[in-house]
Amino acid sequence: MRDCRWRDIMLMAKCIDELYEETKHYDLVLCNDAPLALALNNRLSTPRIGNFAITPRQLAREMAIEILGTPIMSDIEIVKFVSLATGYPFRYVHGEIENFKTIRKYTSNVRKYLRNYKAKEIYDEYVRLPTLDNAMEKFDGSTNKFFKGKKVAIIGEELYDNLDKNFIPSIGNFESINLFKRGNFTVPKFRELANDKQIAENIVDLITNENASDIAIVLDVDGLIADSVRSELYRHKIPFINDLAMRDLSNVRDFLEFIQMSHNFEIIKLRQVRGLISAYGGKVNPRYDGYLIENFEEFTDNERASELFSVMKNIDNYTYGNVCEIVVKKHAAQIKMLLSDFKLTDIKVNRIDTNDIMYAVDNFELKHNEQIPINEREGVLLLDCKKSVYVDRPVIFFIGLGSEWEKDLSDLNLIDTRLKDDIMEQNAIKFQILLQQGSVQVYVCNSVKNGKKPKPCNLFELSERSKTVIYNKFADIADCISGHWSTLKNNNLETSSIKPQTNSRSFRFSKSSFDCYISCPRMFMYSHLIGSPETGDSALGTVIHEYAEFRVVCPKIVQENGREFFVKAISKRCLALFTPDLRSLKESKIRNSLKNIDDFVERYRLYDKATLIDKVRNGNKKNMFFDLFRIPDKGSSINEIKCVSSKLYMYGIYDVLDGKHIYDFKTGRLRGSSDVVKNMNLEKITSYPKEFQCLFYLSILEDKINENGTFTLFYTSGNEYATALGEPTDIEDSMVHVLIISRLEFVRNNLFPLTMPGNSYRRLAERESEFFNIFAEIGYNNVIEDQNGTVEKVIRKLGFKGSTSDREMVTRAVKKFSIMYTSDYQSFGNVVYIAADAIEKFRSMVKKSYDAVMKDFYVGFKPEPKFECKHCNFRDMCTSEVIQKS
Amino acid sequence: MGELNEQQKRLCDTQNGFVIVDAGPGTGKTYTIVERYIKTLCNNVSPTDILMLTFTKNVAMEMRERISSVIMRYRTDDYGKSEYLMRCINNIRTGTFDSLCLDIVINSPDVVNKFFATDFMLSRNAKLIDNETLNEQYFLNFYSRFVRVHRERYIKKGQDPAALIGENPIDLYEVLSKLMARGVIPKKLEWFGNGEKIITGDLDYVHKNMVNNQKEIKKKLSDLVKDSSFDFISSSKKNEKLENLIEEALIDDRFILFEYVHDVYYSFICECIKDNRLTFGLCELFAYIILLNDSDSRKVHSIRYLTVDEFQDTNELQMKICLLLLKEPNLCVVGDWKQGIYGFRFVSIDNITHFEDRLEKFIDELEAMGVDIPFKITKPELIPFINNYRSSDEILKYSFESLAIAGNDSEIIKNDIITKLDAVKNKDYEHYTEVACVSNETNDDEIKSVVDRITEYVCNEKYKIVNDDGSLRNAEFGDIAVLSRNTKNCIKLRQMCQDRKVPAFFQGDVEVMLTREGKLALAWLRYVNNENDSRGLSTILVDMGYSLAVCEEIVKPKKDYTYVPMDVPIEISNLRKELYKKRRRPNDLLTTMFSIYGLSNEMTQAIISIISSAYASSLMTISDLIRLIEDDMVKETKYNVDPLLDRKAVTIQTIHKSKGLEYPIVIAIGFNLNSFPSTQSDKNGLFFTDKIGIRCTKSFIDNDFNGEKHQVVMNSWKTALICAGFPTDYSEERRLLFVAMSRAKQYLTLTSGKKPSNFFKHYANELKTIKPKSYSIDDSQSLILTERPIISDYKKRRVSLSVHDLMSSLADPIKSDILNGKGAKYGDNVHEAAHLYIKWKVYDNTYPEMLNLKKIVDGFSGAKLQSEVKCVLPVGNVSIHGIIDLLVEYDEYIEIHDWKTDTNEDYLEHYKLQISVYAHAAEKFYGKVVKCYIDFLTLNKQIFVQTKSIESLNKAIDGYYRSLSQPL
Repeated sequence: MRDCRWRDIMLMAKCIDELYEETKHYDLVLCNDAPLALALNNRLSTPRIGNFAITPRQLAREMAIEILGTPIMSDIEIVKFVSLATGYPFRYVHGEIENFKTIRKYTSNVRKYLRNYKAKEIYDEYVRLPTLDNAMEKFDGSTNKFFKGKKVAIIGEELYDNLDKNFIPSIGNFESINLFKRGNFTVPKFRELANDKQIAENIVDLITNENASDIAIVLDVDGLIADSVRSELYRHKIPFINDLAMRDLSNVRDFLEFIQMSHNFEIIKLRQVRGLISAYGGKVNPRYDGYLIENFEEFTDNERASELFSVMKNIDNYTYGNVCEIVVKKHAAQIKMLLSDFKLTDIKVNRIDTNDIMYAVDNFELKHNEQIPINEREGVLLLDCKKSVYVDRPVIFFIGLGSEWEKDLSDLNLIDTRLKDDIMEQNAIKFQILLQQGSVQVYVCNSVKNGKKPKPCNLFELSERSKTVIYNKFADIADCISGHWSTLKNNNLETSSIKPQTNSRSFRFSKSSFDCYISCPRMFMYSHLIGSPETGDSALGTVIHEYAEFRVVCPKIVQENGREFFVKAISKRCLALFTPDLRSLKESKIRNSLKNIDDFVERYRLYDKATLIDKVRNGNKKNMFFDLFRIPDKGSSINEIKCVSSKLYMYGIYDVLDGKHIYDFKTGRLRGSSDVVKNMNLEKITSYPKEFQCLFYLSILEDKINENGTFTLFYTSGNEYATALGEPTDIEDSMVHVLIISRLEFVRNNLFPLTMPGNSYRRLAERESEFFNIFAEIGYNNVIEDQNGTVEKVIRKLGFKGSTSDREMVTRAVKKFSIMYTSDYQSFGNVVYIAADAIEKFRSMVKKSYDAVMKDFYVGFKPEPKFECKHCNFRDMCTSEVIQKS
Repeated sequence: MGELNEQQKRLCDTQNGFVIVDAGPGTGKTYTIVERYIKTLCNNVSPTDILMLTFTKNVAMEMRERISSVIMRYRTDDYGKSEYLMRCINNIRTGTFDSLCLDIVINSPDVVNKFFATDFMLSRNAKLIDNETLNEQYFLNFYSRFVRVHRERYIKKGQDPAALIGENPIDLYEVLSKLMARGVIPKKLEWFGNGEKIITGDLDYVHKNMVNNQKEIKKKLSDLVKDSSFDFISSSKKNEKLENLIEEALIDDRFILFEYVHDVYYSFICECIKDNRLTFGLCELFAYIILLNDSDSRKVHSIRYLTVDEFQDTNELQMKICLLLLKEPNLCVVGDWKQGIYGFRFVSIDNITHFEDRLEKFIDELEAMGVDIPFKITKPELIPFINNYRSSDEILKYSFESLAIAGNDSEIIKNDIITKLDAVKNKDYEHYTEVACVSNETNDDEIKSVVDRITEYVCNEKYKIVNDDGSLRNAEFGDIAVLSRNTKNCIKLRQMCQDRKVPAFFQGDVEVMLTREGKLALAWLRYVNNENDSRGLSTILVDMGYSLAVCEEIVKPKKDYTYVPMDVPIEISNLRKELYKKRRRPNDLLTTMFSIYGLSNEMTQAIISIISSAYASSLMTISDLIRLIEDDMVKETKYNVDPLLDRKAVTIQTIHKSKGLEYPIVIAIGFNLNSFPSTQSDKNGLFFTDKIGIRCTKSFIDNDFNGEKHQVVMNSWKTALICAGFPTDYSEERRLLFVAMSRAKQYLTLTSGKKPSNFFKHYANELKTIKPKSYSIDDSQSLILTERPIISDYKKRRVSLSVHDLMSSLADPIKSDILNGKGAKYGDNVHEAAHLYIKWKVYDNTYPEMLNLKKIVDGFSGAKLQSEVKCVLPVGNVSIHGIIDLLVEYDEYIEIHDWKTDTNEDYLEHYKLQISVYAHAAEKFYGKVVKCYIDFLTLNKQIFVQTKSIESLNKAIDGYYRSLSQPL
C-alpha cells in the first residue's frame, strides 16, 4: 500500500451538472470555456430563444456590430487588408499579427514588445481594424447596458484572461460561481501500458459503435499518440469527430499542386505528375517517367494528357478560372469558390498569387462547401490535453499524462516572466478540473517512453495543495496496474481464386529475361509483367544502335550528311531525358559513340557485307534514321538479326551477325573481360545484374549454324576519356572477344604464355609438350584430384632434381593447370574463353530454367536474389521477406 | 548517487568564468550540473538568467524535471532557500539548440531579410521541415530551376560546374549543409566574413601533408597511371618529379566552382526565405545571423549563465551562438570527446578538445565582425571527472584501450590526452564482472552465437547482477543490451531472437519504407491514386499470391503502352474504391489497407505516422506522398520505430542510439572487416572538409579535336592525389567502440563473424575467447493479460444536435454537397448580409437575393425584429440547437423566417423539419402562436409552413442516430 499522504491531493471540482443546477435560474451565464457553455446550454430542460450560457469571446462576436459599429473582419480579410495597406507580403503580415495575438493574451501594451518598425507599422494598421480582440477590448461590462435587468452568473472568474475580464458586470450585478466544492480528489489508479500504440489499441478496445458518442479521449493531439489512436479508431471502424478544413480537401490540394507544378513546368519529370495527370483523366505511359514534361509532345498522344500538359506549359496565359474550367471540370464548384473568394478567377496565373493562396489554404480556416461525413461529425471526441477543461462526455480516457501534457510557456520569456506563476496556477486549476470530468474515467500512462520510465506531467505537482511533492513516477500518485487487456485482432483479405488461362503458353527467353531469371526469379516475374521505365541512357543506347544499322547499310547517306547531322538528330530525340546541365556531356558522348561506330564499321568493312532489305518495323522497333530518310520499311541484312532457337526456347537479336561472328554494341561504361566473367559467376553477389549474353547468343547461333561462333562486345564509348584528353586511341581497346575453346586447348594456349610467363617458369615452358603429355598419361581428372602425386611424377619424368625451387615451380604449374582446366570461363587481356563443354552446361541450365519458368508461371516466382537487392529495379515492389543479400 | 565527490564539488563551486568539464561515461555529469544549477540559483541569480542547453528535447525535459525534483526535495527537507527556489521553479530554462534557434528566428525574421538583402521576407510562422527526404526533394527542385536559368553564366574558362555536379546534385546539398554548420554564409555578392578562406581550405597544410605522406601519394600515382577514368595523362607526366606533381595538384583552379557554390547557396537561402521554409541547419544559421547583427535580439536572448551539455556534439556555429548569448563570461561546457560520434552531422570534437583556442579565436572573429562582446575572456578552468560510478574496473580498462586500436594495419594513431577513470563500483562488482570475445566462422553463426550468449547470461547462474543495495540476483533479459554498428545486424538478431523465443526488441531507426508494410503502403497509394498504375497493382497482386499467368491477364499493356487493368479481382477493386474515398485522410486510408492484411505493428504505426504528419503539415497530395516513399526507399531513409514492449526483454540497439544509457550486460556485435570499423568513405563527388576546402573528385574536360567537340567528366587526379595525403581516419569509429563498451556495468561480450576486424583482433588477442553455450528458453514469460477496465453504467448525457446535421442526414449525401444550389458558403454570405440589413439597415447589393429580402424585412412594421437568434429545443435526451434567421415578435404571435438561396424547392420537406424545431422552441418560450415561413430568396418565393409535430422530430432524431450506427 502506498503512503496515503499522497492521496486526496486535488480540490474537488464541480461537475457540469452541478454547475447547471447552480446556474439554471440565471438569465445569463458567463464562463470562459466554450465546451462548458455548450454543455450548460444542452442541459436546458425547457426551450430557449436567445443566449443562456456564453463565453465572453462568443458574446463579443455577437455584439461586435454594436461595439464596433461594423462586423468583425475575418482573419484572412484582416491580413489581406494590412498587407495591402503596408505593402508587406501576406505571410509576413500574418506572422506578425499572430505574434500580436500571442502578446495580447498577456498584456494590453502590445506595442511595447514590438522591436522593429515593420512590426509597429503593421500593428498600427491592425489595431484600427474591427477584430474580435478589439471588440473585447472596447467592451466594458461594468457600464454596458447589455447586462441591465439580467440575472448574471459568472463561472470561474479566476480563469478569465485580460480581455475576458472586460465582460464582467459591475460588482453586485452578478453572482460568482466557484469552480470547486468541498472535498478532495485523487486519481484512483493508473493503467500502465508500454508504448503509444499499445495504449491506443487497448483504449480503443473499450469503445464500440454504440458507446462512441459517450466517450472522449484526452491526449496530446499533436503527438504521435494521436496518430496511433486515430489509426486504431479507423481500424475498428469507430466514428470520431474530425474537423474538415479546406486544406483537407483532396481536390483543392490537387488543383494547387497542378498550378504549382505548372510554375515549374520546365524542370518537372513525368514521374512527378503522372498521378496528377491521371487524376484529371489523362493517360501517360510510365515507361516515360524519366522524361521532362516539357517534351510531352514526344511521349504522349493521349489527347487529355496533351491538353493538360499544354495548360501547364502555357500556364502564364491562363487565368485561374480558366485552369479550373479546363483541368478540374467536374466537381469544380469548390475550387471556383475558393478562387472567387480570393478574387483570382479572372487573374492570370502568377507565382505570387499562387503562393498566397497556398499559404492561405494551409494556414487559415477557410469555409468550404463540403459536408462533413456523418462518421466524422459524431462519435468519439478527441481532445487536446493542453487546451481542454470541461468535457461533456460521460466516459473519458486520459492518456499519456506525461510531460507532453505540459504547456509551453516560452512565449512569456520574452514578455513578462512574472506572469508565469499566475498562468501556471491557472493551468493547474484547469488540469484539476479536466481530470475530474465525466462520470467514468480511465487514466492511462506509458510504462516506457524513449527507453525510460516516464515522469508524470508537472501539473500533478502544481495541483497539489501544499506543493511539496515530487512525482518521479506515476506510482507516486496512485496505484499502477501494468499490462494490457486486449489482444490484437486481425482481419485477412480473402482473395478470390482466379483461374488463369491454361492454354499452352509460348514463351522464349530473351537474353535479358534470362539474366533476370537467373539473377532472381521474382525479378524475372516483375520485369516480364511491367518492364522498366526508359532511362536517359537506355534511350540513348537504343538510338545509337539504330544509327549503327543505318551506318552499315546506308554509308553514303551518312557521308553526305556528315556525322554532326546525326549527332544533332540523336540529341534532339534523347536529350529530353537529361537535365540541361548534362546535355552537352551527353551530346559529346553521342558524338564519340558515332565516331567509334564509324571506325568499327570501317574496320570490318561491314557495308560490303550488308544489303538493304525489306524490314517491317512496328512500335518501339522503329529506326529513327530509316524513318528520317523516308525508307521506313528497310533495314540492313546483317544488323538487328533476330535468331530463334526453338529447341532451346531462346531468342536473341544480334546487333551485327557477320557469318559466324556476332558483334554486340554496348553503350554503357567500358567493362573489361574480367567483368564479363565476373557477371557470369553466380557466386559473386556484388556484381549485378547477372549477364549471360555471350553464352546465350553463342548458344543460339550454334543451334542455328551447327558450329561455334565468336562473340565480340564493342563498347561504343569505351575510349571517350582518352579521346577527350586527346590521347591516341584504338577501337580494339574497347572490345572484348569471346571465344569457345576446348578445355585442353585453352590451357595449352594460355598456361605458359599468359599465366606463367617470365624466366621463373622458363625451364618448364621449354618442355611444354612433355609436360602436357605427362598429364595426358595420368589422366586430367587424376591430375586435379591428386595434385601432389602429379607434382612428383612431373619432377621425376622431366628429370628435375627436385630442389625446392623445382618443386615450387611444378607445384604452381599443376595448381594453375587444375584451376584453368576446371574453370568454365576465363579472361586474359581482352579475350574471354569459354570452355566448349561449359556451353553445354549453360544450355542445360537454360532448359532447366525454362521448365521451372513454365511451371512457376502458374504458381509463383520465389525471390532468390543472386545480387544485392538494393540494385534491383523492382525493389520497391518486392514485398517478400527474403533476407537481403549483403 | 549521494554526496558529491571532490571534482563534482569543485564544479559546483566554480560558478563563474569558463569551465570545461571532461566528464567521461558514468561520472555523474547530469547529477552534478543539476546541483550546480541549484547552487547558482541560491546565489540569487534569476532562473531567467540561466540556460541549460542540450541536443534532444527529451534530455532537456529530463534536465528540467531533475532540477524541479531537487528543488522539491529541498522544499520537503525544509532547505534554507526553499521559498525562493520554489518561486524559480516555473522559470527554469532548459532547451535544445534547435528550439532556441527557432525561437530566435521567429522573433526577428526581419533581421534575416535585411542581412540577405532579398526581395522576399521570411515570416514568423515559417515552417520548420524536419523530414530530410522532403528537404532534399525541395533542394533538388530548386537546383533544377537554378541550373536551367543560370547555368550558362558559369560556363567559362573550359569549366562547367553544373555539368560537373550534374550526376549527383545531392552532394551539393550536403556541402551546403556542412557550410551552414561551419558558419560559412553567402552574402549577395561575396562570402560573409572569412567564408572564402574556409572554402578554399588550408593549402599550406595540404601541401605539407602531401609531402609528409609520400608513400601514400606514390601509391596513388601508380594507381592513376593504370586507371583510364582519371584525367591523368600518364604519357606527359611519366617523368615528372613527385614534388612537381604535388605542386601541380595544388594549383588552384576552383574559382568558378566557388562562385557557383556561392551563388547556388545564396539563391537557395533566398528561395527558402521566399517559401517561408526552414530546416534545422538554416534555423541555426539564421539565429547566428540575428545574434550577430542585431544587438537588440542579442539583448533579449542574452543570459548570464550558460551550461551546455554534450558539448562534444556541438558544431562551430553552435559554439559561436553560445558566445553570442553570453552577457557575462559564465559558460560551462560539459562533455566527453571520447563520446563524440556525430561526425556525420557535421560535428567535430574540436570544440571541446581545443576549447581554449577556439574560444579566443571565435571571440576575436566576432569582435572583428563588429559584435560588442560584453565581457573579457578569462582562462577556462578544466575540471576532469575521474570517478566512474557505472562500470567495473575491467570494463573500464578495456573500454579505454579501444581509443588506441588502429582501424587498419597502416593507421598511425595520434596520442590524445585521455583522462583515465577510477571505477568506484569496482569493489561491488569484484567477482561479478567479465569481458569476453566470441569469434565465429560465418556472419550467420555470429548472430546465432549472440542469441546463445544471451541465453547463457540469463540461464547460467554464475552471472549475477549486483543491485544498487549490494544484493545479488540472477540476470534477466531486461539487463542485456546488444549493440551494433549497423541496423542490419539488429534486424537479423531480432528475427533470430523471435525464432528462439528470446524476448527482445529493437530500438532504433529502421528503413521502414523498405519493409513489406512500406511497400504495401506504396503499392496501394499508387493504385488508389491511379488505377492504371501497373507497378502498384502488380505489387498488390503478387503479394496476394496471384501467379504470373493471372497477373499478366490483369495487367495488360495497351498498344500505347499505358496499362488498363482488366478483370481486377473484385475484392481488390472494391478495396480501391473504398480507399479512394479516404484520400483526404491518409491515416484512415493506410490503416484500412493494413487491417485488410491483418497488419498492425510498430512498422505500420511508424509508416502511418510519417505519412500522416507529412500530409498534415503541408499541402502534399497523394502523388507527393508516393514520391516521398519512393525517395525514402532509394535513400534507405531510416525512421524511428517505437518498439512494442510486452515484458522485460533484451534491448537491441545501434551504438548511436545507446549513447547516454547503461546496462548491466552488453554484447557488442558485428566486429567484421569493413563493418566495424566502417570503411565507408564520406567523400562525395563534391565535398568539403576544413583542410581541403570545397573540392570535386571529378573534373570537367572540354577539348576540340579534329573539329569535333569532346566534353567529358572524369575523375580528378589532383583531388585524388590530395586526398591520398589524408588516409582514412578511424578515430570516430574508435569513439563509437568506446561508447559501446562503456555502456556495460558488469559484463561485456564482443563478437565477430567470418572476417574479424582489427578492433576485434585486438581484444581476441588479449581476452579469453569463449564459445557460448546454448540454453533453450521456454515461453513461460508469455504475455499475461490484466483485468480489463470496467466501464460502469453511466448516465447518458443530454446530447447536442445541430438542426443542420439533423437535416443533412435526411438528404442524399451526394446531392447535399450542393444543398442549396449556390453552395453552402454562398448561403452563409447571404445570411450575413441579411443580418447586417436587419440589424443596421446596411444594404449589400453584392447578392441579388438581398432585393427580395429587403422587401420582406421592410414589410414588418411595428414588430420587434431579432436576427440570427440562438434557439435550443430539448426533445427527449437531445437538445436540438440552431439559429433562427429572423424572429418577428408581435403582441399576439411570433413569425419565424428562414432564408434559403436554393435554386429549386427540392429540399423543402427538410426545411420544414428545420423550421418546425424553431417553431416549437419559440412557441414554448414565448407562449405565443408561431407562424413559420421559408423564404426562397433566389426564387423570390415565400412558403408558409405548417409546423411538424414533436413526434415527427423524434422520428427524425431516431433516423439520424440510426444512420450513425450503419456500417461506415
